[in-house]
Amino acid sequence: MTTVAWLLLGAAIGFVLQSSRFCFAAAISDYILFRGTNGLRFIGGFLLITIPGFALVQYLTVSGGGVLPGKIVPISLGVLLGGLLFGLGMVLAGGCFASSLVRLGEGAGSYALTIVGAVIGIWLVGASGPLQGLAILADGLAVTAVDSISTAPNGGFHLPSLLSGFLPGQVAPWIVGPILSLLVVTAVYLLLALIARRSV
Amino acid sequence: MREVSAVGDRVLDLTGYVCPIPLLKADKELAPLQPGQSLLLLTESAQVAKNLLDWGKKRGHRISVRRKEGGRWEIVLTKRI
Amino acid sequence: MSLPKGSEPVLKGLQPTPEGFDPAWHAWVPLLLGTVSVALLWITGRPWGLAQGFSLGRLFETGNEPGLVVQVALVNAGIVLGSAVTARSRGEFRFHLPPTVSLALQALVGGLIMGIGARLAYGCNVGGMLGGISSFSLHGWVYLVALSAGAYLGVQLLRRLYS
Repeated sequence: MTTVAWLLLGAAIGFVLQSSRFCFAAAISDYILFRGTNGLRFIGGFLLITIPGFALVQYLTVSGGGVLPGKIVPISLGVLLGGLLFGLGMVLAGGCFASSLVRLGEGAGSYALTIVGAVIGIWLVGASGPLQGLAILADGLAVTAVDSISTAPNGGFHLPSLLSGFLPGQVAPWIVGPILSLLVVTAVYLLLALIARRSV
Repeated sequence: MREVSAVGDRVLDLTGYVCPIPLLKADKELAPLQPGQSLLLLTESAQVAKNLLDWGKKRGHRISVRRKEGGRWEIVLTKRI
Repeated sequence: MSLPKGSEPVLKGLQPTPEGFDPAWHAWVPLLLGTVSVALLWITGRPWGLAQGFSLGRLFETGNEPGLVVQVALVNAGIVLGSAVTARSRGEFRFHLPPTVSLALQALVGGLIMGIGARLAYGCNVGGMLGGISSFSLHGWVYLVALSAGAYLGVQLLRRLYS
């Protein structure tokens, strides 16, 4: 992919996000503040597409002899702490990374500061940063899957791989895994929507 | 004094505030109003306008959003009975 | 009282209403973005993510692929441009700054905390969390729970400050 292609892809994403006014942070904070579920629908809808889509891509790649693609990492203190910090920071800043870029494009100068802060924050705990020790500590406190139960390169818990331990055949884990994930996504959304309906 | 096209019993200028702060401020401003009274909210962010719209609808108020020139938005929220 | 010449009626069709697109279009947004992430997984082996594009320190670390940072940074830059062009074309672009110094600081600190969080959690909400869940990595769910808790804390803090 060329430089221009990446830019154009971004531009398309920017067009869609700006037009729809979708904001991930607002999706979460709307639910917390007034049990608004519009944003959560977007997120759920996104996962409804990516879960089967990723299953297909992963299956085709792996059964063709390739390395398992995707974001698969151990369950570490870093994920827990990092997730907490990200959620907190996102609400304080008024948007996640994507939303910050979109709002910046609309002229909201506040998000330029947010992006600068993000770059600094990433550097601080990165391999060249002064607080790198925190990251190393957080990475170190982790639950990793041993090779026998995970085909992920770095010890993440990959659901189809886990399932292949007790499901017959090559294909079954790749069907059951997505179905389970979709069920959980649907269940979580329905539960949240039910709570929202009760609260009016 | 900025020109506005809509009227409200109270005006809240939310220019420059990023979500979810406009929601919190609008909620606070709305509290002492009587049912049927209206609040005029001003913002310069389309996303904030949408956010206020979602919030107003969920809370059951009558709400309308107007797009103004120059990237401004006016939201009129009439407190529900 | 006559309307000042700035007012327009809410527009229809492909022009977004304040709700965004005409509600019938809403379904397209998760479809389009989800497809983007699947396509990126296919092409690059990684889901759509943004944090890598802000990892400028990586550009100076030896033995790392600067290509990844550049790729994601280009997409991120594209998002800003696409949003800007779109907003401008609809007269929705308006430059404004935080109204107070403390809000400016809040924006900066919010970003800082997000940056630290993203590095610790191996990604941001889109790539690390949604990408993780989509990749069937159980860590994605842990991220979701943690992020929700953090957001809850943030909202309580904002409530104390602004309402």
